[in-house]
Parts: sequence; C-alpha cells; structure tokens
Amino acid sequence: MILRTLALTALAFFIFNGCKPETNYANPDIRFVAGPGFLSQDTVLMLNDTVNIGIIADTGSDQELTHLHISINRDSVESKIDTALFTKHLEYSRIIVKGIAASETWTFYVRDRARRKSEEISLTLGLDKSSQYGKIDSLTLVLGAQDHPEKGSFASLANGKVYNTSDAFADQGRIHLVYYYDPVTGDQNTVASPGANIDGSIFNGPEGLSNWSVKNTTRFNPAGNLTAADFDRCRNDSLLLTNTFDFETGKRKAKTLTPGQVYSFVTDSGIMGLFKVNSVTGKQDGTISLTVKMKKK
Amino acid sequence: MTRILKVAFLILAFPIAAIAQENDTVTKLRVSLEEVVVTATRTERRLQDIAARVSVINRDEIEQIPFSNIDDLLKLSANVNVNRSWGIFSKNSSVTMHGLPGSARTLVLADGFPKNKIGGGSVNWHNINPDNLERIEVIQGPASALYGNNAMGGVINLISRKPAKPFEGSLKVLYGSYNTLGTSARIGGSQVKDHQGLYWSVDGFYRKGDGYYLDPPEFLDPTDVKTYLKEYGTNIMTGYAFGKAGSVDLYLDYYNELRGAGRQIHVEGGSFEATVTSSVRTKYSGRLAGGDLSVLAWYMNEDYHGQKESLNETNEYRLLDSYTLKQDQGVWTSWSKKILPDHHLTAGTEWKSGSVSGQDLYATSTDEIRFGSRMDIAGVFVQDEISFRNEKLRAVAGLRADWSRFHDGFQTINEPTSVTGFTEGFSENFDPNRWFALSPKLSLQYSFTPVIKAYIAAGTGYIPPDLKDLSQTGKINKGFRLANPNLKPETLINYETGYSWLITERLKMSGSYYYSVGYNFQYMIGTGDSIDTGGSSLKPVLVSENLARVRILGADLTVRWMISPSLILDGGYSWNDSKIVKFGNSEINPEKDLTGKYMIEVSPNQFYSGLTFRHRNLSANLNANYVGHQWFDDENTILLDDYFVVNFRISQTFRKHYRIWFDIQNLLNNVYIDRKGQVSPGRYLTAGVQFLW
Repeated sequence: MILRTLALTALAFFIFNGCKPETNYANPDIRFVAGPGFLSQDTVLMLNDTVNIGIIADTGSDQELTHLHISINRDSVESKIDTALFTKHLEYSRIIVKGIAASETWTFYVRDRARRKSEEISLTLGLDKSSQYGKIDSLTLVLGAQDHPEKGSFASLANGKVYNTSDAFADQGRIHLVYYYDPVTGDQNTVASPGANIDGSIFNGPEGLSNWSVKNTTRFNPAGNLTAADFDRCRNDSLLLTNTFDFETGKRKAKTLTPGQVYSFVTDSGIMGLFKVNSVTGKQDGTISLTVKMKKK
Repeated sequence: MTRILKVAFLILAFPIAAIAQENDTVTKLRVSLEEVVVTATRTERRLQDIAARVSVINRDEIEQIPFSNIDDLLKLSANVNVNRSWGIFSKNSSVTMHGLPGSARTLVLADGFPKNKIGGGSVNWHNINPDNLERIEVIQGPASALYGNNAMGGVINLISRKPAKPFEGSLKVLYGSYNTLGTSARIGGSQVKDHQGLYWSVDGFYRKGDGYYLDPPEFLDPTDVKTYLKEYGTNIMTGYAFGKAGSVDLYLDYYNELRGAGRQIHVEGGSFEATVTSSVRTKYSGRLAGGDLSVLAWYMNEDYHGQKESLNETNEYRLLDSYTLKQDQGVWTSWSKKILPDHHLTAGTEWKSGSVSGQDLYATSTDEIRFGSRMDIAGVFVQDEISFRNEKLRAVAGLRADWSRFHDGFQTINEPTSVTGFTEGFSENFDPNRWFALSPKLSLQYSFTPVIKAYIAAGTGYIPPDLKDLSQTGKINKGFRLANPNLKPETLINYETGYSWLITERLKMSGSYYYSVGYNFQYMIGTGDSIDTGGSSLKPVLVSENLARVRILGADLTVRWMISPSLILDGGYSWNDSKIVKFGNSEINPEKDLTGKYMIEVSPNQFYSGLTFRHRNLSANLNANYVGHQWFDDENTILLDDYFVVNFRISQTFRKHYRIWFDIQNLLNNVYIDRKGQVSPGRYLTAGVQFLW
C-alpha cells in the first residue's frame, strides 16, 4: 500500500512539476557620466580634438546587461558597434577623436538578458569650421615572415622598430604589427597583430604568441577607394581621417596582401593610419615592405 | 580484432555449466514464427507470413538487454544504425536503416502514430517510457507504398503495453554513473470482460544526471562544464472496448527535458536545449462494411528553447536564444477486408500537416531572425495480399499516391550584424511548392516448408524536402545556408530478396540482400561566395540541391541459436556499400562532383552479438556491438574511427513482485570520438530496483 501511494505521489509530481513563477522586469537604465573630464552634452569640436564620453548603465532586474549598442551617424552615414556584456552594472568610457564629419551623433543603449532595452541616449559633436588638417609621420617597415633567417616579423608603431621573435617577446607591450605567411588557411601574406587569432604553429616555441601575456590588437580595413598614388600624395591626415573606421568594426587581419594595396588601421591604443604594400617576396621565409603613414605623435 | 577475440572469450567463458532444464522456453523459436505483427501490412499477420524483412523485439528481450534509451534496443535488429554518442545525455539520436543516412529517412511510429516531426523529420526517443513498452516491430527497407514519406529506409513501430489485470502497476528507481538518478511509476487497470469495458494506464518518469565533459581532456578549457540532464514526463492512456464493435483509445502525453551542452561562460545553465512536448492522440478500431476500420487522429506540440553561449576565435562572447515551435497534426484511416477467399484488401487515406515557426534572438547583439513554414501531406493507398497454392505462395501488391504542399514559408531578418552574416535586414515570403509521388510495391513469398521461406520484393521510398532546407537561410556548422524553395522530393527504388529458415527447433537464421537506387538525393554545394559571420575566417555560402543518384548494395544476416533452454545466442551482421553514382547538373556550381563518394553516416560493416542466460528468476545478457568506420564529410576526406562496445546486464526477480538489475554499458570503457570531435561517456553503470504488482 505504501508503495502504491508512493507511485501515485510520484505520478502527481511528474504531472504538476515544472510550473515556474513569472519574473517581472524593469527596463535597464542608462545615462552619461556627467563628471569632470567627461562630455555629456552636444558640443562643437576642432578636428582631431579628443573627448571622453562615459556611460553608466544598470539592469532593472536580476537579469544581467548583455549588450551595449552604439550607433554613430556621421553626416547621415551610419555605423554600428555591438559589444557583448555580462554584468548588472556597466561603467563604460570611450575616447573620441573628432573626425572630418560636419556632424556626428553618438547614440547608446543597453539591453539585458531578456532583451529589455534601455532608453537611447545620444550626443552630437559638431565640427568647428576653422579646423585644419594635422601633420603625419611616415615610415617604411621591411618585415620577414616567420621562417626568415634575418628579418624580424614584429613591428612597433610607437617607435617604428622591427623586432625578431625574442626581442618582441621581451617587449610585448610595444608590438602592434606581425607579418607571416599562412599556407594552411589560404590567408597567405598576412599582416595582423599579436591580439589576432594566429595559428599557434606559425610562431611557436616558448616565445611564440600563445605564450605572450600582453597582446595588443590592431584592426584593419581595406582603404578601398585609395590607390597607391593617392597614398603617395598624402601629406596631411585628411586621407587618414577620411578612411578611418571605428576600432570594433575593423578586421584583425589584413590577408592575401599584394603590392599596391592600401589598408587603414587603428590600434587599441588609438594610433590610426594607413599602410601601403610596396612589395612581397617569398612565402614562409619571404619579406614584405610597407610604407606606413600615421598621425603625428 | 583483439578486442573482438576478448569478447568471444568472455562469451565462451559465460557459465554454460550452470544451464538448467526449463521447458517453457524450448519452443520459443517456433513460437516466434507464430508471433503476430501489425506494422508490415497494416493488418495483423503472422511473422512467417510476411514477405519482408521483419524483426520483433519483445517484452522479454526489453527486460533482458542492457539499455538506457529505447533506441539502444534497436541495435538488436540487424541493419539498424543507432548513433547516440553522448549516451543518455544526447538530445537526439540518429537511427538510420538499410544503408541510408539521416534519421528522417526512417519512419518511427508509436502505436501506429507517426513520431517523425514534419519539420526536420527527427524523433524524440526520450518521451517514451520503456516500462510502458510491449514490443518493437522493425520493418527493413522502403515502405512508402504503405506509409508514404519518411519510410524510405524502413519502419519502426513502438507498441505500448495495455493493462491486463483489474489493477496493476510498477515503481522503479535506478541510480547510475555520473550521479544519474531515475524513477518511473506506472499504474493501470482493465475492467474488460467479454471484450467490453474500460482500460486505462498512467505512467510517469523522471531522470536527472550530472553528466560528463564532452571535450577530450587535452582540449578542456575553463568554459567546459559537464553536460547534464533533467527530464520528466507522463503518459496517460484510456480506452473502451465495445465488444465486437471495436474500441476507442485516447492517449495524452507530456514530456519536459533539459539537457546541457557542455559549455558555460556566464549564464546559469550555460548552453542547453530544453524541450516541452505534449500530444493528444486517439484511435478508433471498429468494423465498417464487413471490414476492419482503423482511424487515428493526433495533435503534437513541441516547444523548443536552446540557449547557446560561445566565444569565437577571438574570444568575443555570443549569447543566442533559439525558440522553435513545431506543431503536427493528422488523421489516418485504414480499412481492411478479406474480399475473396484468397485476397485481403487494405486501403486507406492519410492527411497530416506540420508547421515550424521560431526565432533566433541574440542577447549580445541586435540580430533577430524569425522564420516559419508549413507542409501538408495527403495520401491514398491500396494494398492486396493474395495467397496461392494453399498459402504457400503469397503476394503483396500495393500502390500509394502522395501529394505534398509547402506553403506559408517566410523569413525576416532584423538589424543584422556580422554575427549572423546578413549584410542587411530583409523580409522574404517563399513561393509555395507542391509535389506528387506514386509509390508502388510488389513482393512475393514462397514457403518451401513450414520452416523455410524466401521472398523477393520491389518497393519504393519517397521523402519530400525538409522545411529548413526550403525556407531557412542562415548560419550552420558547415557554412552559410541559402534556402531553396525549389527543392524536389527524394525517391528510391529497392529490390530485395531474403529468407528465413528455422534450421532446427533451436536454431533460426534469416537474411536479406538488396540493391537500391536513390534519385534526387539532396546535397549541399558551395556557390563560390563566402560570408563574414564574425569569426576569423569567412564561411562558404551553401545551398541544397537535388543532385545525386545513389546506389546501395547491402546484405544482412541474423542468427538465433538456443544453445540450451537457458542460453540463447543472438548474432547479426550487416554490410552496406552506399555510394553516389552520379552527381551534378548544378546550375550554381557545375564543377562540383561527388561521383564515387560514399554516403556519410553509413557504416559498411556492423555486427551485433548477444548471449542471454535465463535460469529460474535470474537472467543475464552479455552483448557486443561493432560499428565500422564512417565518412564524416560528403567529400570523403575525414574517416571516423570504428568502435566496439560490450554491454552486460544481470537481473533477478524475487517473489514475482521485486526485481533488481545491474547494467554495465560499454564494459571495456571504449571511449570514442563522435562527428563533432566530442567524446562518448565511456563505461556506464546502472543499478535499479523495481516493484511490480
């Protein structure tokens, strides 16, 4: 009898188990940081002026914030940046360098795990018409691929030096560019950065990239409208500003490089510029020659 | 091979000396020929009268064979390939037959009701309580002349128990590896007297387990967690018998499952798949115009939620919620009558309809994908079973016509980013499509003696395109799939011969040989374009097309040898050579050619052997299952290893009411890697106790 009762109880459990109470949510909250050093309202800036925008967001429930969305409207051309999160409280800041758009509007919102959306907050940066273009630095880098017997594969945009693997390992924080030849994926002649997902077999050993503790990331976009001649004529930062992009929207690798190609780049530390491929020779033991133009430090 | 010898030794070392005399099983083999099956012809026929390859797994075997899921039992049938690489932690298993890949090409029935969902054709094997199962009928080879779509490789019918006593029931508790705890209860009763009265049963089951790591130890990272499992369900059946007028059955089923996928980054529960399935089914069996009438009607609702957490190659976090609702309904009728002394006519109509709708919502980006589509299938069939020469020669001729219609297909993409690969939002309504198929069948069987029979058969298989391929564009594992609403059905013609021979009262052997040609088999090909889906490399754009003619040569052999009344040896071997013999005519990529490549998911060699010992209330079973290598990819560049698994069960019944058992699955702890590079659970132990009344 006891077992029969148990069986009936078990059946009742199977049938009625699974009812969960609904959770009530409030939408997340978002606001600009209004403190010193942060811009929180519309303003007019000179070209290349730098401002800091801060965002604070909080979830309205027990659900974490999972998504920060930024849309930038530059003279009616829109770009978007989506960042994955997982936090109940977000403090986010971003350094913005005023570009060439006469007007750029930055709009932010967050969403939580349940896709509840905060209100959208935005501010507009106007361009002071008296602005002038800035000066640029130019340098030429000759890098060797991973098996080149002499030339290093790593370069710093901070000091313009080329490093071999040992020296680069010892000075990881300065490395912004890596050149290698990838025969496996078909990427072939590639310029990337230590923060890219580079196959561990390419720079292996104890000083190989998988053992680096600091990995700077540089992102790239083809400067599709620029010819090599345009690049060569570049004497100020106008072309750099015209062809730059928001860091998050760039690619981590510039692949299958061939002479004459021009790429725009931005580092995670804010260095922006263009490079042109002068020449490429060989494969794993080959070399690449680049001319780099970037904003004058 | 060494391991096979080890197992042979184990089998031989089994305690043959303990064999005792028991007369109740001596004539079991002969009796098995008299066993009545319903699936092969949709009429009740003795096993020996069926001109097809049919096997039955009965209640006795279900209790003796070590298993964790019902589909494990199908390994007893030669030429059924069961792929459940995570054991009980697998959400789906792939059950394929007759040298054909793809679960959708095998029709699975539960008490005659289809279990394959119209959307995808998959079957959830978890929502059937094994304690509620009376027997499994397995029909090898195409049966579309009788069952229409899905029945291309064969038909599996899971037949549930009906209560026999005024009040009966059972309560079971089990505990197994990976902290797996399960319980199951069943009560029922029958007040049927003189074929009239009420019968009913209610059963429920619950199982949970901590699981194990799916990645091999050398690839574990901090986001790897154990896969886990929590499931429960209930099935309610009630029926009323009206005497000779027939009966009505009503089934209500509910099932809820949650299965972890082995990855957790931030969210509680990590990646998981959760499904709630409910269905109502009703069946009327009665008399009409002097014949037997059967009417089945059903509605099934499956609500799926998948939560997927991932990091891409550059450690960018993704959190995706996928919701899919599948709804199937249908009405099947079948009428059967002996119209002339030697003719038995069966005819019927079928209608079923299914829809898939859902959405993929990214919590970490703006992407939203919504989709939906529907398919209706209507069929009529007629079949004549004719016997000649004093029933020594039997013929079955059948013909079925099917109309399928795809409609209401749409897909909407909102605010896409590179995460989903769409460059801009859009909304698309797909053009409807419809197909017609005729599926004939002819088989002849000759009984040379009461114990030797042979048959030859020609049959056809048919399956319309899957709703996903017709109407869902998006990222898949291999690349980026484009929907193709212009797909056509796949068809197959099968020629087969087979035999069954009761060599002695203790030795039975049966086998079949077949040659099949499949037309318009679907394959995915690259368009030559590629799409950025946020990873470090571009994904190829793929589209399904009806491109291949395939050829399957196969044979299987099963042997049952009753060594003594207490000891039975079962063996089964199947061989398949499943190849693409013609490929091409693609407008998108005419260069692609897979001619000569083998079909994936088909093992050329498969072997099963089991030794069952029964003495009084003690029973034990030791069995071994070998599955040969299979190709991983259509291009035949990666070959999956073969694997070999040995299982053992011992059980004892006390005072007719109590039963205990102990299972060891994968006794040799042979851990193998599946198609996704994930490991099997290895040795799996279960012990349980059951109380029956």
